[in-house]
Amino acid sequence: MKTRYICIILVAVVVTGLLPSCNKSYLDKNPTDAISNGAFWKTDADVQMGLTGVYRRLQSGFFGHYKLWLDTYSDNAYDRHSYFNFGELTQGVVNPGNVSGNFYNAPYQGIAAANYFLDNVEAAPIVEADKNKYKAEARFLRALFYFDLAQSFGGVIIYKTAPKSVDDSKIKQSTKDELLTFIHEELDFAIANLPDVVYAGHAVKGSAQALKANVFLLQQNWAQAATLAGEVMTAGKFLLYQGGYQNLFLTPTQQANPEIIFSTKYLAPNNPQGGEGLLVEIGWYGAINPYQNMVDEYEMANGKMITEAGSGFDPANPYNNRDPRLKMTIKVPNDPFINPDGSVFQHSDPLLTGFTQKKYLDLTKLPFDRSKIPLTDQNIIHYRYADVLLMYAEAKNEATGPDATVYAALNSIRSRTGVNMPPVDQLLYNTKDNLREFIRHERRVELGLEGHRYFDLKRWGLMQAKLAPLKNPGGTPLKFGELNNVLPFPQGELDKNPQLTQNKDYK
Amino acid sequence: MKNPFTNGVIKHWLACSLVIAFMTLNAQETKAQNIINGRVNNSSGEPLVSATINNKRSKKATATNSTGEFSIAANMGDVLEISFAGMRTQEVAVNGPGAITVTLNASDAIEDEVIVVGYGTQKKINLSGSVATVSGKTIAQRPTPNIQNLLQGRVAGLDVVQSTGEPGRDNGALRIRGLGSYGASSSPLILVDGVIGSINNLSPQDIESVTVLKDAASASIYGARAANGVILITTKKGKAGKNVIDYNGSWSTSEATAYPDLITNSVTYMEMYNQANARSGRALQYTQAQIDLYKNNPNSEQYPNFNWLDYVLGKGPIQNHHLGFSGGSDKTTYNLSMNYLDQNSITKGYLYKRYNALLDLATQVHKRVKVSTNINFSFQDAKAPWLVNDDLLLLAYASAPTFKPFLPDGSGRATNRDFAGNTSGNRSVEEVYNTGGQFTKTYNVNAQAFAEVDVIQGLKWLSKAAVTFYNQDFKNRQFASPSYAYQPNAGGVYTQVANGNPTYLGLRQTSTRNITKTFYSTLTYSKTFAVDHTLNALAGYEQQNNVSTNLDGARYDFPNNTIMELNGSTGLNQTTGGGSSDWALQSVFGRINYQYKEKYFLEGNIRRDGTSRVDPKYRWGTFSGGSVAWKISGENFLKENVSWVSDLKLRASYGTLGNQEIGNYPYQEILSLTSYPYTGLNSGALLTRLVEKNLRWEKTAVTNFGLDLELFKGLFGATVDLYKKNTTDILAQRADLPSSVGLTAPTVNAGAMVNTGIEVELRHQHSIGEFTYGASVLFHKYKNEVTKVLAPTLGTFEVGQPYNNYFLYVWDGIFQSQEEIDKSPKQPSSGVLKPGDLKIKDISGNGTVGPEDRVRYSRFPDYNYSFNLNAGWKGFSVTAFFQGVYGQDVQVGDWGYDPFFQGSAPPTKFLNAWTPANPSNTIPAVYLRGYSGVSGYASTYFLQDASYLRLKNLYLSYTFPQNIVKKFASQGLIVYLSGDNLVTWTQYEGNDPERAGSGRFAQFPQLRIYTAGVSIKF
Repeated sequence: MKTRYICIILVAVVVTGLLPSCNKSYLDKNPTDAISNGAFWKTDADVQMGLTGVYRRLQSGFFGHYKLWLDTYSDNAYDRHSYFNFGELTQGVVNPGNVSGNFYNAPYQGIAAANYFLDNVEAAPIVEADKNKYKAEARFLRALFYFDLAQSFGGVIIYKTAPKSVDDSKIKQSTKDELLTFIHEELDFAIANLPDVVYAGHAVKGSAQALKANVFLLQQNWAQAATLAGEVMTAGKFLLYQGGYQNLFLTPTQQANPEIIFSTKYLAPNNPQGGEGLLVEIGWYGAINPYQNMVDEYEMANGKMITEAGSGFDPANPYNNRDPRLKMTIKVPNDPFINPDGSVFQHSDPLLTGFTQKKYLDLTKLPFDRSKIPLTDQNIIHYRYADVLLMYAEAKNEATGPDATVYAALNSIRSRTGVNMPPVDQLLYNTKDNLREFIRHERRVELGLEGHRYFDLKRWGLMQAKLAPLKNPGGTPLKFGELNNVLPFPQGELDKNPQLTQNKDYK
Repeated sequence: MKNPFTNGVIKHWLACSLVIAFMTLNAQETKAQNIINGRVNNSSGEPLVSATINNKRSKKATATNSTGEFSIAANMGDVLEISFAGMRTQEVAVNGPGAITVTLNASDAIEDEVIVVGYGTQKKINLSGSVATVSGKTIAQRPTPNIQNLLQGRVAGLDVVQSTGEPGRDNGALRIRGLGSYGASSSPLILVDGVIGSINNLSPQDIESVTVLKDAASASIYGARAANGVILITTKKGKAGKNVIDYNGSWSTSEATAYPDLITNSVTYMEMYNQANARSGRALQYTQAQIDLYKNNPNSEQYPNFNWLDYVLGKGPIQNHHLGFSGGSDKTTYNLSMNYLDQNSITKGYLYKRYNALLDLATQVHKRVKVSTNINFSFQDAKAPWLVNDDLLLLAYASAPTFKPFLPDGSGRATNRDFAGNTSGNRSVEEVYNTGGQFTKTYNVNAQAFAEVDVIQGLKWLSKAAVTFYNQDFKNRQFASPSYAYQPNAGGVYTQVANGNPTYLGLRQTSTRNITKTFYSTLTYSKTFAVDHTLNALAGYEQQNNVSTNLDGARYDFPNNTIMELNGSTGLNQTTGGGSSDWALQSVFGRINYQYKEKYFLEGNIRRDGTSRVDPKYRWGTFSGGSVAWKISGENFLKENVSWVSDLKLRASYGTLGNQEIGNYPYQEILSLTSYPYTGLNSGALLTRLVEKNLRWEKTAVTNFGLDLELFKGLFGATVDLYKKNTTDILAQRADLPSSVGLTAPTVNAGAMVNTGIEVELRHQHSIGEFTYGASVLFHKYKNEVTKVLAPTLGTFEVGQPYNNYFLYVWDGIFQSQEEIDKSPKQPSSGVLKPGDLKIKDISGNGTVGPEDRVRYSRFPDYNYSFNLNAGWKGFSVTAFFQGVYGQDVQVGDWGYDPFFQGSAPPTKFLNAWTPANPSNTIPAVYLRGYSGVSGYASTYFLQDASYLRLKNLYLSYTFPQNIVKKFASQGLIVYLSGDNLVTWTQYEGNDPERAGSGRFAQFPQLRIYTAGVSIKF
C-alpha cells in the first residue's frame, strides 16, 4: 500500500515537473497573415512592397473611380443617387457637416502611406540609385495627394514626415502658397529622379511634369506651365491614341496606351474598383446624369456650335451630326444599350436628365448587374497626353496669345482618328480672349466626365457663372457661392485639432 | 510563471496517467465479502427502480432492478450509500447478513442540492457567492429549437434577447448583469463540462444543469475570461443501474407572432404615394391614367390589392426527436443520446436540420482511479435564401400592393414592380428565392477525456484534456433569373426589368476551421478538523490555445444553375483568399473554502492568467475574489425560537475579473498586406493603424451583497442580490486622432462604466393533498452609467449617463395650420414647414428649437422580469411561464414605418394621417423618408416603447400512471402540449417588441410555436 502512494506521488511530482519544461513560445502569437514592422524594410523586395502600399492609396476616394463623380460638382452632370451630396452642394449649401469626407481623408491616407514609406526607406540597405527612384515615386504621389488638397481646401496641414503620436499630429495648417511651394519641391525631385520612359503603372518623369504643369496652371504661372507641358511634348514619350477615343477608357486598350501619362490602376477580379464599381454604379444605376447644358457644348460635326448660324442643328434630331465624342461620352436618349441577347438594357432607375454617362463603360460587359462588380477594372486616368496638349494650349495662349503651336495642339486632338473634327476656325478664334473661350470649350468636351471640370471651373473662377443658368432635375436653380471656392474643413477635424482654423467664411 | 507550457504537456500527462493506472491496478482486494440483498422504496412503499447503491468502502456500486431490489458485496460494518434522483441520499450500515429495506424520502432540495461551480461542486446552501442554477428539466420544458434562448427568464440577472425567429440563426444575445463593456465583448464565458464549447451542440434533454456565476468572487476562478460572468453547462451522465431507453418526440408548427398591417388597397397606395412625392416636391410616382387602371378594375388579377406580408409569412413545421440510452454497472456508466431537429421557416427558402449526439462514458479502472470521456457532436445543415433575416423581410415590405409575385399570364415568371418605367422599390422576394441560396454546414465536436484519482483520503487529482473543433463550410450560390414588370407595355408585352439581380453570379465558398485545445489539472483537498472546521482547497493549472483558419474561393462562370461545386466552373476571373489567427492562454488558479459549524463561510479564489493578446511586458495578470456568508438560521437563537425560518443567510463578496476578448493582436504594429496592379498584381504592405503598445485587457470589479431565505421548509423562498459592477480600462479608440494622420486611431484602455443592480427571486411551492402548485418570480433592474470617456459625445456618450443614449428632439404633435407654425418656436427642420409636419417641443423655452432642446433617452430597459406558475394534480401538470421587459425604448424607421421608403406601403394608421380635412395630432401628413418636416432630424417620433410582457410558454402534460405504462413494459410515459409566445401585451405598434435593439422597423418575426410531444421510457 505505502509504496503505491509513494509511486503515485512520485509520478505526480514528475508530471508537474515536466510542465514548465516546455518552450517559451506558448504565449507568443504573431499575426499570421500580416507583416510585423520590425522585420520589414530589409530588402529591395520589402521596399517595393512598401512602395506598392503607397500606390494602393490611389484607389481611395476621388483618386479612384469616384474621381468621375467630381463632374457632378460642376455644370456637367447631376449626382443622381447623391453619392457625395453634390446635389446639395450645387445648390450652394456647403457647410462643415455636408461635404464628403473623401475630399479630406483620402489624400491624407495617401500622404500617411507616402510618409511612412519615406521615413523607413532611408535606412533600407538597397542600391542607392533604386532608392532614389523609389523615393521619387513616393514623393510624386505625395505631391499628387497634396495637390488635390490644395485644389479643394487651399492651405492645409503639411506633414513632411509621419507624426509620431496623436498629440504631435495636431499642428497648424500652412498657407496655400507654402503648400504649392512644397509640392513643387517634391515634383522637382521626382522629375530629376524618375525614369524618362513611357508609363506602364509606375510614375515616370512625364507624370511628374504633367502634374507640375497643372500646378503652374493653378498658380496662373502661364509661362512655366507652357514650358513644362512643352517639355512633355518634345520628349515624345507620349502620343495621342489613334485606336478610338472611347477605347482610351476601356481596360484592354488602356494597357501600354501611349496617351496615358498617369492613372489609378485596377485589375479584375482580385483588385476591382471599390464600392460596386462603375459598371454597376454608372452603368446600371445611372449615377451620373449629364445636364442638357453639357450635351449642348458638343459641336456639330462641321465644327460649328449648335447655336451658330449654319450649324445645321436639327432640334428634331438633336444628336445627329454632332462631334463624335458626344455619343462616346454620353448616352443620349435614342442610343440604347443592347444586351447580348438583343434586348434593351434597362437602368435600375429613371435617368433624371434623360442622359447618363457612357465614357468608361465597357459595353461588352452588358447587361450591367452586380455580377460585374469583380470584373470592373477600368483604370482611372489622371493625366493623358490630350490633357497636356490642352494645358499647353491654355498656358501658351495666356502667356503669348494665339500662335501656331496652340492651334496645332488643339487640332491634333480634334483630328484624332475617329473624332475627325475640323481644325479650329482660326479666323473666328483669333484673339487671346476668343481662343481662351474655345480652349475652355475644347477642354470641357475632350475631358468631359473624367473628373476635371470641378477643379477647372474653380481655377477659372467660373463656377457661379456656369452653374447659375442651370437647374437640377427637381427644378432648383444651381448656385455656387464665392466662398465655396475652398471647401470647409470637416467639423470633426476642427474639434480634434484646435490648431486647425476653419477656412474663412465658414467660421 | 517564467516558463510557459506547451501542448506536449498533454502527452506527458496521458502517458503518466497510464502508468499510474497500471501500478495502482496491481493491488487486489483479497478480503472475503458477503452478498447483501435489499430493496429500496419510496415513502409510499413503491419500489424505486435504478436507485444507486454504493459501498463507500469498496467503491463498488450497483443499482436496483425493476422491482426495486438489489444485491451488493459488503463486509460487516460497511456503509452503503443509497441514492436516487430527486430523493434524499441515505446511508445505511451493514450490521448483519439480513436483507435491508431502505425507504428514501423526497429530497429536501434546500438541504441537499449540490450545484456545479468553477472546477468543482458545492452544496447550494453553503454558497457565499452569487450563483444561480437552472435544472435541465426546466430547460427542456420549452420545446423551442434554440437552446440559448431557453435560458431567457430563468436566471435573475441573465438577460437574453432573441432577435429573430430565423431557423438556425436565432441565437439570443446573453448579458449577465447588464452591458459589461463597450470596447470588448460583453458576452459571458460559456463552458460545457468545464471547457469552451458550443451550446448548440446539446439538445435540451442532454442538459443536467446550468450554473450561472454572476459575481466576481464566484467567477474569478476563471480570471481574464470571466468579466461578463460565466455560464457552466453540465451534460447528463450515465447512472449505475438499469439501462434506460428514452425517447422524446415533438411536432410543432410555427408562425409569426406579429407583423404590421400595411395599406394593401392599390388605389389608396398610389394616391398616397403621389401625395407624399408632391409634399417633398418630387415627381409623382404614378400618372392618373395608371391610377385609373386600378380604380376601374378594382381587385382584379391584373390590378390586384396584394398583401405581400401575408403572402411571405406562413407556417413553418418543426419536429424534434431525441433518443437516449443510459445506464451502467457499478464500474462503468454511460449516457448516449442522439437528437434530430428539422425546422422549416415561416418563409420559403429555409430548411434547418440539426443532428446532435452525446456520448458520456465513465469507468472505475481502479478503486481510486476513474477515467471518463465526454464527447458531444453536432452537425447543422442550414439552407437559406441568399438574403436573410430583415434583409429578406424588408423586400416584402418594399413590394407595392399593385402587383403580385408572378405575372398574371400564368407563365410563372417573377415580377419586381408594377409599371416598367417606374422607380421600383427593391427586389421582390420571389426573385431572391429563385436566384440561389446559401448553404451552411457546421460541424462541432467537443471532446474531452479525464481521469480522477483519489490520491489519499480527501485529496483528489483531476486532469482533463479537451479539444473543441469547429468546422464550417459555407456556400453562397447565386444565378440570374429574369423578372418582369407586372403591367405589360403598350404593345401588351411583359417587359423584363432588372432589379432582383444577385450580388454576383456564381459560387463563393468559405471554409472555416477553429480548434481550441484545453488542458487542465486540479488537486482538491477536503478535510474536517475538530468536528466543526471544514476546509476545502483547490489548486490547478490550465492552458488553452486556439487556432482558427479560413480558406475561401469564388468562381463566376458556371454552365448552369445547379452546379454547386467550384470545379464545375471554368475558373475565369476566379478569386481565392485565406488566413488564420491564434491565441493562447496559460493560467494557475486556486481556491480555499472554509466553514465553521456550517454557519460561517469564507471563500477565496485566485487566478493568474497570461495571454498572448497582450504585450509580453503586461501579459500576466492576477484576478481574485473573496466572499463571506453567515447562515443566521444555523444559530441556536434562531433555530430554537423561529423554527419556521428554514434558511436565512447573508452573503457578501468582492472580486476582480478580466476581459481578454480584445482582438487577437491588438498591441502589435503590423503592416497589412495589400496589392496594386502596375501591370500584373503586385503585393504591397501598408500601415493602416496607429498602435498603443501597452494595451491591456479590461478589468471588472464586482461587489455583491446577497440574502437567501427559505421559510416553512420551502413553502416560501427568496434570493436577493445587490451588485455593483465596475468595468475599467475599457478599450476605446483615440477618437481625437485627426483624420489628417491618415491612419485609424489607436485603441487604448480608457473608458469606465458601472452597472448597479438588484436581482430578486421569489419562490412559493405548496401541495394540498395530490394537488401541488407553485410560483416563482424573477426580477432584475440595473442602472448603467458611463464613468469615464475618452472622447465624449454630447447626449449619447458622456460621463454620468447610460452608455449610448438616444438624444432626440421631443415630438409634441402635428402642426395644424400655418398660423400655428408662425407663432410656434422656430423648428429644427431645415425646410419650409407645412401644416401636417411634426411639431417639436422647445424645452428650453428660448423661442427656437435648437440642439439644446434634445432630450436623452436610455437604451437600457427599466427592468427585466419573469414569472413561472405551475400546478399539478395526479398525472396532470400545467406550467405557465411569463417573461417581460419594461421601459425598453427603441428607435426605429424605414420600411413599414416611414411611408414609401423604397416604395413600401405605409401602415394602415396612415389612413388617418393628417390632412386639412382630418386634423390628426398623432399621425403626420404622409411623407417620404428624408422629408425635412418629419425625418430631417431625429425626434421621438421614431422612438417606440418596446416594453412587453408575454406568455412565453404554456406547457400542459399528462404523466400516465405506472400501472398503465407497465402493461407495455414502459417505465414512464408523458404526453404534452406546449405553446411558445402565445400572448403578448405591448404598446409597440405592429411588430414584435422583442428585438435586438434599434434599427429597421422591418424584422424577421419571432415565432409562435404550437407543439405536441411525447416522452417515453423503457
